[in-house]
Amino acid sequence: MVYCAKCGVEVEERLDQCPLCSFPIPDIDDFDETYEPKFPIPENILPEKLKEARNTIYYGITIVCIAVILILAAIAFTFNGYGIWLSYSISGIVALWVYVFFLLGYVKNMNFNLIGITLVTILLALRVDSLNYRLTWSVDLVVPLAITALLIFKMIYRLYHFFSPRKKSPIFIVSFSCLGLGIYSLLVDIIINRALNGILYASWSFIVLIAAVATSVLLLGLYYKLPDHIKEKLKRKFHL
Amino acid sequence: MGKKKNWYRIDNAGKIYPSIISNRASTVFRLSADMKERVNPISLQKAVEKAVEVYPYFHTHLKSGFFWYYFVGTKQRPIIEKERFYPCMFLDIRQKRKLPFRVLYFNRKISFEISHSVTDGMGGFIFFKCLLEHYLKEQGVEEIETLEKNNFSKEERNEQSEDAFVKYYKEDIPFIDASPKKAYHFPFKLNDLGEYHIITGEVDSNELYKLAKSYGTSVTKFMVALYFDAIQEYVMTLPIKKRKKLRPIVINMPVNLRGLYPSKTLRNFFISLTPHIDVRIGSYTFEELIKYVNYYVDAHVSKRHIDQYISRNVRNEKRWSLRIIPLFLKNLVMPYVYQFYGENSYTSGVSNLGVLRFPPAMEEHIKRFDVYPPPSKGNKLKITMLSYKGKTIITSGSVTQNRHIETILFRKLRKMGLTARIETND
Repeated sequence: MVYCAKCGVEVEERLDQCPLCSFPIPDIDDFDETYEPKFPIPENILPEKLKEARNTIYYGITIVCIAVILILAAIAFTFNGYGIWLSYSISGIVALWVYVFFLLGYVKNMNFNLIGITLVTILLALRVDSLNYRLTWSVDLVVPLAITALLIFKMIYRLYHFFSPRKKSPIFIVSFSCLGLGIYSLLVDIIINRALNGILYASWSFIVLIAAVATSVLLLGLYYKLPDHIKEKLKRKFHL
Repeated sequence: MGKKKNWYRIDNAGKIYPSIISNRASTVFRLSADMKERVNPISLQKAVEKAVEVYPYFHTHLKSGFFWYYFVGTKQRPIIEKERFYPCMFLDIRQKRKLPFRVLYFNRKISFEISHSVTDGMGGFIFFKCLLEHYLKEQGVEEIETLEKNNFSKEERNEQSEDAFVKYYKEDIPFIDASPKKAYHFPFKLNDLGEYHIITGEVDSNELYKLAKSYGTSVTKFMVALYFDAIQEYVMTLPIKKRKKLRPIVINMPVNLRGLYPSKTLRNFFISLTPHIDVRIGSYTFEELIKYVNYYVDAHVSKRHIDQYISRNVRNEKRWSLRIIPLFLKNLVMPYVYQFYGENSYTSGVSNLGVLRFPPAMEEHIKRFDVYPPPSKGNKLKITMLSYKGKTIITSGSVTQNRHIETILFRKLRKMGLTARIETND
C-alpha cells in the first residue's frame, strides 16, 4: 500500500508521483510483478486526422497548380506564343501555391508566417514588374506598402498583448485595428504620393486617421465606462 | 419479426445532443466492469449480439428528419473492439451506419460507451447489465439464470421506449421562472483535442455513509457540499483581483426521475437541479454548505416542483415556433443555445448513479464497476459516482491538465477520516 505524503490518498504502486498533486512517491522495492495495466496507452488519433485532412487538401491544390502550369506551357508550345502572358500566369500560380502553404498553417511561428506572406507578395510584384525590363511600381509601391502593412500588423498585435494581458476582450482587437488602419492609411497616402509625384505629402489620410483614432478611443472608453450589465448584454449579443 | 422498422423519436432531454456533438463534446459516457478473469472476446461478441435483441431500442441508427433527428432500428451487427483510445472518445452518430454505442474490452475490463442522446446512466446500466449477464452465460457460468425477463411483451416494449417526459407532462401548470445565470468557469487550459483524463477515488461505502450521516445528510448531498467546498477553497486561492469578478458557483445535479415517476423507460429521464453559492458574499463553512444543499435538494425534489420542470422542457419542445425550424438551421444554432442555457450556466456537475446491484451469481465475477462522465468543454471537469459491492467510486473526468480541484476534494475527504485509493488512466 503506497500513499501520497501530502494528500493522504492511497495510490497505485507503479507511479513515481502522486496523480493529484504530483508530489514524488518514493520507490519501494516490493513492486508487484503480476501488475496488469487497466488502460491501454492511448492513441490520440484526432490531431493526426486533422493533419491528414490538411495534407490531402494541399496535395490536391498542388496537383491542380502543376496541371494548370503544364497546360499553359503546352498552349504556348503548340501555338508558338511564348509571351509575357505566360510569365504572368505562371508567376501568379506559383505565388498562389506558396500563399496556400502559409494560409493552411504549415508554419507554426506567427512571425515567420507573416514575413513569409509579405515576402511572397514582394517577390510576386517584383517578378511581374520585371517583365517589362524596368522595375517601377513594384519598388515604388508594393515593397513599401507590404513592409508597412507587416509592421502595422505587428504593432497591433503587440499593442493587444501589452494592453490586455488579462482582459483579452475582442473589443481591444477592434479598437487597435481601427488605430492601425488609420496609421496605415496615412502611410499609404505618403507612399503613393512619393511614387507619383516624388514628394512627401498627405491629404485625405489625415481625415481617415482622425476618424479612426476617434473610433478607437471611443470604443476603449465605452468598454471601460459601460456598466457591467450592458457589457454582458453586448457580449451575449455579439459573442462569437 | 415484422418487416416494419421501429423508429423512435428522440426524447426531450436527448434532442439537443446530436446537434452539439463535436470533438470536444462527444456526449459519450462510459460504464465499465472489472471482471474476475481475462475477457474472452468471442463470448463478449456473442453477448452483445444477444443483448441488442433483448433491448432493440439501443440497436438503432440516427437519421435526419426534416425537423428533428430520430432513431430507426437496424440489423447491423455490433462489433466489439479492443480498447485503444482515450475513454469516451468522439462518436459521431450522425455518420451513416454508426451505432450509438460501443463495447470495448482490455485485459479484464469490459467497457460500454453510449451517446447521451439515446439514454442516461440508468438506461445505460440496464443494457450493460443485460450484456454482462449474457457474457457470463456464454462463459459457462452455471448459476446465471435469466433472472431478468428477456422476452418482453408489446406493452413492456412500449414502456421501455416511451418518452417519460411527455408521459408526465401536465399542460396547465405554470412555468418555472428559471433564467439561466452565468456561472463561474474554471480557468484551466484545455488539453489537446481528444485527450481525456480520468481520476477515480475508491472509498468504503459504509464509512462514507456514516460520515454523511454524521453531518445530517445523505451521501449525494454530502458529496455536492464537499464539491462546493473544494471549488470554494480553490477560488479563494486566486488573487484578489480575480476574486472580485467572480460569478456564482453552480453545480449541475442530475436527478433520476424513475423513482418519483414510475416508468420503465430506457431513455433519458432525469432533470438537472442547480444548487449554487455566491462566494462574493463571503465564504461558507462546510456546515453552512450542508445546510444549503439539504434545503435545496429537499425543496426541489418534490413532485410539485419537478412537474414544473417537466412542463417547461416539454412545452419548449412542443412550441410550434421551435418545431417548424428545419433541422439544418437547428444544427447551426444548437451548439450556442446549449452553451448558453446549458454549460454556461453551471460550473460543473455531480452525478450519482446510486447503489448498483447484480444478482449474487454475477457479483462474484464482477470485481468493480465504474462510470465516467462525458467530456465537457464548458465545464472542463465533471464528477460521477456509484457504489458497488461496498465500495463507492468517485470519478472525475477532466479535459485539462489541472488537478487542483480533485486534489483539494480528496484531501478534504482524508481530513475527515476517509482515505481514498486513487487510480488514473495515465
